[in-house]
Amino acid sequence: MKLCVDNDWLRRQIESDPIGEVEAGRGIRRSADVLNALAEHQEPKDKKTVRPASRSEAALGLLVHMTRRRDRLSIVQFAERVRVSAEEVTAIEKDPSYSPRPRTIHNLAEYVKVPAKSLLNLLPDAPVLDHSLDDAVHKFAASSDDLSGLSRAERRSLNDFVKFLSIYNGGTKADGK
Amino acid sequence: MKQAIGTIPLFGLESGKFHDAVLFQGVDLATLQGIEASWTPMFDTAAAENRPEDAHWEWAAKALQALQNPLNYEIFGIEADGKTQGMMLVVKGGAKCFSRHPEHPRMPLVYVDFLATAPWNRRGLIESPTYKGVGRVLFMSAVSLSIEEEFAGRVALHSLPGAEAFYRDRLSMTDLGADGDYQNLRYFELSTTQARQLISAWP
Repeated sequence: MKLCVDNDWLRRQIESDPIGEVEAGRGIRRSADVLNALAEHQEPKDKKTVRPASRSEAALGLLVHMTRRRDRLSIVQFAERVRVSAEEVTAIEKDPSYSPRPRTIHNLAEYVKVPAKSLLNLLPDAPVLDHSLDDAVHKFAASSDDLSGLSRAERRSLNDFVKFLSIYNGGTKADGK
Repeated sequence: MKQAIGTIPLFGLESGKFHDAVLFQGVDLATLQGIEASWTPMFDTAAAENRPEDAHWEWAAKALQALQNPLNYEIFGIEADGKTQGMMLVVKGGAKCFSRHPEHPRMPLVYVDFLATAPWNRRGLIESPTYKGVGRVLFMSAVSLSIEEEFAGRVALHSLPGAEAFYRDRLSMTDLGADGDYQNLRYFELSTTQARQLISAWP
């Protein structure tokens, strides 16, 4: 990573900063505090294994998998197109309870051409269920089969699901409103 | 696991001039041992008998190994005079990484889980702090990470009460009020526009 400002900028700002407190977030007084904070944010790899996945939780992985097959892209090729790591694409496809990073969601939404808000509703953390979404997910999941290319029926099902997501009033589930 | 990003300036309050320090990304066992040896006693002088023993460091080494290559966080540290002058943990994904700012609700951002300076740099703990600038450099690292993650510099954090003026007045963050879900600490965000203005600021 590279700093977005240079040392001249830092010197000028620091010079005029008052001598005062700057602490934020949890208190760090000992090494265990740092380790505990790191462990807490290791969630995507640890917590996922203890949570059973439902059909709707698998929807994002299925959408990614079907889109990738439609476009005949390997995981690495798809990851390059979407500008995320191949490791994350694999996690999304293979682990239904995996919660991707917000940037990944936005990049995926851009690639699939649906609002990011709709994809957020497919995440395992999205709190409120919406029956119209669940119905669409069930229909979509039931139609898919793991063949190398998409059959005509699968392509239609994928198109229908993407169309649904693009018009889905997605604020309800992810917002919890 | 721990790598130097570059040399940065910290203002020495005793010398009255800038000193070179190194900004690091990542953490290793030596850093943790340094915190235990130099930070902890200043917070809790009566805890000598509670200092970690070898078994603790064996556990810490294993824990660090298990926590390598994180997908959703980055940890930064600043070192000068052979000591850690400050540390910051920034989270890149999860429930806290969606904006609450009216300028761009729900847009992704990076969230500062903690930003901590060494006790000898804290005005609230000692009368004459050693360095000034640790918080500024760490915060700009969070902004830089946000830009690298394509979050346009958006950063969020919960400020400790004594630091609210720094985030509000010096970093021009928006104060979105006390957060009942986080010990009533005030929640601050640096919006896309504020990040742009901050970077171009030249006092």
